[in-house]
Amino acid sequence: MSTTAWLTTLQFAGVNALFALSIYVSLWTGVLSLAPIFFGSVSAFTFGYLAGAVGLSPLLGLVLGVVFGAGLGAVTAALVVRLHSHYLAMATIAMVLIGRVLIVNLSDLTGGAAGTLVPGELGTWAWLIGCLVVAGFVLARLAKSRFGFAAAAVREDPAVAQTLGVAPRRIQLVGFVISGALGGTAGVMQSSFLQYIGPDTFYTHLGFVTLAAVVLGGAFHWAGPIVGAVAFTILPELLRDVLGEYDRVVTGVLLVVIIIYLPRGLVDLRRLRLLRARSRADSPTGVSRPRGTVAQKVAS
Amino acid sequence: MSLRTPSPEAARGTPAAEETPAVDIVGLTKAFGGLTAVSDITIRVPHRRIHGILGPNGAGKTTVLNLVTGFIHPDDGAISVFGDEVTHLPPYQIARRGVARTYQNIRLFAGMTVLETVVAGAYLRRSSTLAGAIFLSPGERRERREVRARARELLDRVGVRADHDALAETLSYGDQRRVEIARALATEPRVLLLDEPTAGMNDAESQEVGELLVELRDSGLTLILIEHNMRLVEDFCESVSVMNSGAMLSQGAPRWCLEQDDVKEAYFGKRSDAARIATLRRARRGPGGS
Amino acid sequence: MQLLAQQLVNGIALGCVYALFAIGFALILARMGILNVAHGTFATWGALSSYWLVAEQGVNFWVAAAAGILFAGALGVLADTLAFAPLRRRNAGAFAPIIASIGVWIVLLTVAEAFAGPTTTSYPADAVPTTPIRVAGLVVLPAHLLSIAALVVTVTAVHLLLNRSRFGAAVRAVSVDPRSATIVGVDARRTLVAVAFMAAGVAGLAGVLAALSDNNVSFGVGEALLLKGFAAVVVGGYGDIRGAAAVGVAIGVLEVLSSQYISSGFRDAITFGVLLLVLVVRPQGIFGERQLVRA
Repeated sequence: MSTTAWLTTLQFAGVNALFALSIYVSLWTGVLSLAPIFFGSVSAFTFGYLAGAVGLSPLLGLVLGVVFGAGLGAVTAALVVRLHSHYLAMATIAMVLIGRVLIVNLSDLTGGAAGTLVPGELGTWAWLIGCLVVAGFVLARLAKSRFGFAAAAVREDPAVAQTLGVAPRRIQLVGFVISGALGGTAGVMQSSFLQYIGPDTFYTHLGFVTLAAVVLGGAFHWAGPIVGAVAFTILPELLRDVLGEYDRVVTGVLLVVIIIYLPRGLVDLRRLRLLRARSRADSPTGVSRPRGTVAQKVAS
Repeated sequence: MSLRTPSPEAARGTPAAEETPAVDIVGLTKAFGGLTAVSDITIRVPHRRIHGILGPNGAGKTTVLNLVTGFIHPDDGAISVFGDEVTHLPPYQIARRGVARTYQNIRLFAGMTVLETVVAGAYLRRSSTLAGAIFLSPGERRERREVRARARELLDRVGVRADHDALAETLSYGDQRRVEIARALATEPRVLLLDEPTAGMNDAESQEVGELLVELRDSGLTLILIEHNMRLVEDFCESVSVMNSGAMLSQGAPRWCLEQDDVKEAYFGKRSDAARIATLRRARRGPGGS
Repeated sequence: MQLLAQQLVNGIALGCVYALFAIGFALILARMGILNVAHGTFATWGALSSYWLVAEQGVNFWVAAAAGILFAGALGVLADTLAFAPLRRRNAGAFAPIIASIGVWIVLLTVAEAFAGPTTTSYPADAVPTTPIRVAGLVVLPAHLLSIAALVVTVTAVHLLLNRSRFGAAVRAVSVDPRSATIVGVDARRTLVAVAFMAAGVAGLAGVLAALSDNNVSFGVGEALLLKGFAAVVVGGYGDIRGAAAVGVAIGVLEVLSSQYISSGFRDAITFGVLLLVLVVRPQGIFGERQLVRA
């Protein structure tokens, strides 16, 4: 691939990373959600429409993405957060499927099946890196916060979290709002890079790639989705020459293989901590070796 | 920073009959499908009491704890905590009224270190906001420092000797149970429910848990524990309820309860075996408890 | 009046296809605890494989349809063996099977897309029954009759099989606790394979009928069914396949009537609107089941 092609690929890896972070935030609170794709879609089409109708400065467009996405996240959470986890996941997939129906049919606003053009001022490295840095910074700061621990508690064991006074649905609502803000930003950035959006821009394929990114990178640390997004955006490009139109098969197969053999993903603090504990236990002079036995119960 | 320490006069002076019970369970009934797990159970636990719930496996003891913490809701009956009715509240609301618990099958959060586990337990005692956390405001810094210091204090208090930065799930069973107690204590509860706190511990460790219970009681907590270790019950519980097949067999002082014929029968089978109770009881003191 | 009656017939026939699809979806959810989003691709492959046999190999339609069902069933078994069984053995978390099923979805969809190409086609007109039947002034297409008959037969057969046979008892035992089921002599693996085959096979049947009714064979056959199947299961519950089937039929009627009397472009949106309404008003489904907090 040429350098330009590489750079373009990396840009899309960056946008996918934003989507992946958006999925990650919901997973953090124990919710499997593809709603970020829908958040991105609505924000992007709104951005496209307003930019065409009244003209938007880049910064205003980005703010719109964040605010719109967050609002959608809140509304979505209010509707679906009471659902059992399986139904919740499926409801968010349904949102993505329905989003396409809406885009095709609301042609006055969206351009219908033909799609619509979007200004590209935001589609630069500076804006992209800026968004990623802010997103990463916010999530890193939240990781060890009161919210962060509550979210992890809800994900690991919602019943126990409740006995600590955590209201799981409230935490999940906050998760949806943050996820919405990230998804909305990702949507605006995606549309700015493409400068054209249509019914298939924010559809299942984007959902698959970004979910695969989270699963590969790991849903237990904010760096995971970024690593995964870079891998899963570059990999199909490398494979395209070999596999042609079958390149997505690799994404699917990898998704299954990872969830079976590396269920916590590449970036996994728990595994690091286990390894550290093991190496400490192996060394006879281990200072703070726990009394009794080590690693009696290590879940898969 | 210590657990709430009530004034000494409030602690011992008032007769138990006059004050509102810490936990008041009246006529509790719960059936799963056709099986009645708990039937017409009434337990009244006054303030600052160590109360044991005994009974053979399948007696419905854990179901009672699950009902009190709101995991499941009763078909009939009422539960009050310090006079507030909590019968149909969700678990987190009950937790906010000062009820905390541990679990028979240890339920620690996967991936968290010992210290993080206890910090996670302090959710209710923190006031930090998202914005505060993102900008790491001075208040947030202070709170994080305090919460961690307090978590270390609690871990020392319950006797966790393992490295606080080790993964909680890699600890010995005894330490895992202690971490669970510390996590529950981090909510600063008024009532602590313990489901077999000494399971998997040896005699010396069980004794330490017993002493911890007394210490917690003296600092103002009300404790309800499910326990199979009879020596622990006799030495540390001030009152017990004995259940069998979901029904209440007897309530009162531990020694008295354990001498009742139907209690002996429930625990050891035929009455003629009662003579062997003393031996069996000694056997039960061994490691493992249950 | 005549129009309404005609639309009702069309709606019921369409709904029967949705119901067939929903049965398998519900079966996998109820008996294996897997929300299998790849279920739509089984329907797609049922349609594509039977089309290939009819159009390119000149096989008789009925034989091809049967082969399509078997092929879809085989894909279901393959997916279970390669993706879900390893997760079961590892006691993976609640999301792992959904993520694995998304992986299966991607693989089967991509291959279908490559196999069928971007265009849509239909079964050769001379190979399939097309002569409409006129009853009391109503026009009933053979595809419609087939859909209705297929649903009645399938629901009855699956219901009896699950509730009145030794196999059904084995399925229930395995879905509650595979280990205990094995102890009392049930071959858990074989039972699960049979359920996977049955569910995917019925999806394949739905795919064939959907392609026949719509005159449309493409890689998107199953994608269109996925949402309806989900809606039917959410509203109708998955404990009893008859609930999901009944709601599936109702969705078909609702769609046909709403596109006739409201707007054709939004028929999917109307289905989704009803679905959302049910989710908001009764998140546990109309025939609700299960407890939300794990104690």
